[in-house]
Formats: sequence, structure tokens, C-alpha cells
Amino acid sequence: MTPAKSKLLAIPTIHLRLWGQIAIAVLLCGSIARGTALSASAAAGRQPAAEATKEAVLKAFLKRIDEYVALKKRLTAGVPSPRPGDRGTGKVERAGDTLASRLKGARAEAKPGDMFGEAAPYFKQIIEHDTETRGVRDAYAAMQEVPAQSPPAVNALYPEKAALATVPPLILVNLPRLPDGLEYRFMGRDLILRDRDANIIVDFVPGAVPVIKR
Amino acid sequence: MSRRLLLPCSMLLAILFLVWPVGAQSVLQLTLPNRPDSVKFMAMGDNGTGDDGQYQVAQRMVEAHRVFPFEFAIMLGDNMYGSQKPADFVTKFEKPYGPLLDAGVKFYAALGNHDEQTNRFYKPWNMNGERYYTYTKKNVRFFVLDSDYMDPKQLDWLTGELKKATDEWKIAYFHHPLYSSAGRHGSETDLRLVLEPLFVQYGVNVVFSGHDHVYERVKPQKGIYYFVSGSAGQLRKGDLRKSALTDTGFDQDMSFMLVEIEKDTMSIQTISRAGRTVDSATLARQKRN
Repeated sequence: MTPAKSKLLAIPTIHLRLWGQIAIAVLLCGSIARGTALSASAAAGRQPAAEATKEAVLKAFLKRIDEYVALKKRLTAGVPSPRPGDRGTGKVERAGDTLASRLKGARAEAKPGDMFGEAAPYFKQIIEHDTETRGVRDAYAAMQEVPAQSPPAVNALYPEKAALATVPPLILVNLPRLPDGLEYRFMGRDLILRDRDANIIVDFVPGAVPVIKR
Repeated sequence: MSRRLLLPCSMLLAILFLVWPVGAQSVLQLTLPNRPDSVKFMAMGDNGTGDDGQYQVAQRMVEAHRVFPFEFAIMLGDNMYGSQKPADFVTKFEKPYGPLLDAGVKFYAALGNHDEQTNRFYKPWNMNGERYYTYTKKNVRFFVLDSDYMDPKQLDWLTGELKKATDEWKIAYFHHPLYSSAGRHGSETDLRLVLEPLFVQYGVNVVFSGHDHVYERVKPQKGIYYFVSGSAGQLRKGDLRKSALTDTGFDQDMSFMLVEIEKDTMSIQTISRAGRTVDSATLARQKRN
């Protein structure tokens, strides 16, 4: 074992204790699993039919996003948009609460998967691929401040005092672009779709962050 | 009588002995040029706890402002921790920095991972409702980024703004450090991969960040000066693992930075909670092609 490798191996021992709530376990295993997954996804990527399916599924996801934005726009009627100077006065909080309440009402029947739908496996694939290309330390760093509250729930508020852990930019560039007011975040091992203005969880992909293997 | 007074006098002397070093150091020995027409500002990160430490550092800032009248302050994120109700804006910002606000100091904030995103609507932070924005002060242009969510849209915006900028100095600031030798977080390599090429291509001179609760002046990387200043209200004592990156560092107490830019030089002075100068330097503006 090279010194560099043994150093890497030491990291999990220290940090698993510290980050016990982070739902990632670093397991020792060969690179077979990674190789298999990569070659499987590469093979899938070569198939035009699979590409067409992926494109259609992602297009459908973005259509649902557009519908959500249209709904939100309707529900925002009469709710004053926050303006500079409104924070710290209670106005922003009231506007956010009103919008959240209206969205929850309008989407009372919403279930997990309503937004991501059939696109969920592709999101998982992107994140999985990203994880495989990172070092262990990097993978840990990316998940270091992710709130451990899990599982998330559709229409639930994003935990008020939880840090908004950074979503790695290299993941963001590969995920479908979202319109203003919506964003991707991680919560535990789940990828959530968060409404920034209402601070609510619109949908989520459970187990989107894989167990890291190396 | 003398015996009766001995104990109280000894106690008084002991108290004075304990308190005196802090008081004595509170008179700031300014190392900056402090020229009349320069751009003067203060930099602080990870300040908004509302705890005693933040107030003590704020007091040093107020003292520094008396001898070095900085016009504005840049906030490097985590401007507020925990509860962020209207009352918290008073206890975690308006009260500790009240004397600076009263003196007309303007604050320009970047969001950190502990800041609620709606804080961009808080007027005293001059974000104008934006997560990322730009402004100029004389010959210096500042680019304030939201490193919590560096999506392609923000990168496109930054590229466009950098392209347009013709200012002599370009300074970027945001919460997560591209380079840091601290143990807790360290360098944000993902962010570096997307931001550094833009900084190099468009001639960014200086980058300020927080997130790690230490102070570090990083050796120039690809010709760019990097600072981590994330201990104006939080401290991770002993967390700095000085590395090949480190030029100077300080992790024994909370701190903040004073910065002065005049023509082709930038001077910095980093001051601890005790009022001690823990770093000072004069840096030349990089020659660009």
C-alpha cells in the first residue's frame, strides 16, 4: 500500500465518527464495481434508443417543472414580491409563508416522484458518475455539511436552521437547468428539488447519493 | 488598616493585571499607508453568531475605524448563524456593528451556507435582492458570488461581467475558499475548477473567502492573491495546517482584515480580537498581458 493510499484509508476512520449522521459509508472493495457501472453506463450511452428515451424523459421532467412554475406564478398573485429592504422586517417571511401555504394547498395530493418521475434514474446516474470520479476526501467534503434529516417529504419545509450545503458545481453543470426560484440540494443521501421562495421541498430522489466504493 | 486593605488591593491589582493586556493592545498600531484618496475597506467572514466573540471583534473594528476610516466592509458569508428572525438582525448585526453603521460604513455581503437566501433582501447588506452582484469603488471592481450554488447561470453572468470589466483592480469574494490549508474544510476543488480559469483569463487580482474559521494568506496561485478570513465571530483554534499554500496564517484567535488599495498596490493588515496585528503586507498589482 502506498503512503498516499494509506492516508486516504485513514480519513474515513476519523471522519465517520465525526460525521456519523452522514449517510455515506466508505467501503473497501476493488474497482470492479466501479468499472462495471461505468462500462454499463457507457454501453447504455452508446445506444441511440436509450439516448432517445433519456432525452424524452428529461424533456418530460422539464415540462413538469414548467407546469410547476406556471402554478406558482398563479399562486403568487397578490403576494408582494420581496424587495430590497424587506428582510428583517418580517415581510419576506410572511410572503414566503403565504406562498408555501398556497403551494401546499394546491399540491396537497403531490406524491414523491411526481416531478422527477421517470427521470430519477438519470439524476442518480449523473450523481453516481460524479461520485466515482472524485477522491474519497472530495466526496466527503461534498457531503460534509449536508443536513442529515432524512427522509425528506414532499411539501415539507426545508429545515429552517439547517445549513444549505453547497451542491458541487461539477454536478450542477450536468443536471438539467432549472428556472429561477427552484434549485437542487442534497438532504442526507437524497437529492431534493427545493423551491427557494417558499422554502419547501417540491420533490426528491431517494438514495441519489450512492454508497461510495473504492 | 494596611492589613485590612491588603487583600482588596491585591485583588484589584490582579484584576488590572488580567485586564490590562487587552486594554493596552486596543490602541491599534496601524501599518497601512492610510492615504486620503485610497480605497479603504474592511473584510470579515463567518461573523454572525451574536456571541461575545463577535461583539469583541466588532469593538476592535470600531477602534480600527477611528484610525483607519474605511468606507465600506465586505462580508464573506455566514453573516448570520442559527435563527434569522427580524430580532436576530439586530442582535447579530445591527447592534455589534452599530457604531460603524452610524459612521456611514456600508456593508456588501456574500451569502454563506448558514445564511438564509432571503437575506439578500436585507437592506444594510446592499445586495439589492441578488445572490450575486458587482459594484465599483474608484479603480476597483468587486464581484460578489454565491458559492453555495454555483450554477451555470451564475457562471454565465460572471463571465459576462468579467469580460466587460475594465477596472484596474478586480476583486472577487464569496464564502467557500478555492485555496485553504485549514483542516475542517480546506480548498474547495470543485469550485476552483469552474472559477479559477475565469479568474485567470479575465485578470482577477484578489480573492477573499471565509468558511474556514481561521485566517490565511495564501501564496499567490496562478498569479492571484487569495485570503481566507473566516473568523470574525467563529474560531476553529489550531485548525490551520500550514502547508505549501500558506504564506501567513493565524488560528489562535478571531480576526478581521483591513485593506487599502491605492494605484498599483494593495496593503493589508489583519487584526486579532485582542487588537494584535497578526499579518500585514503590501502587494503589487499583477502585470497582465
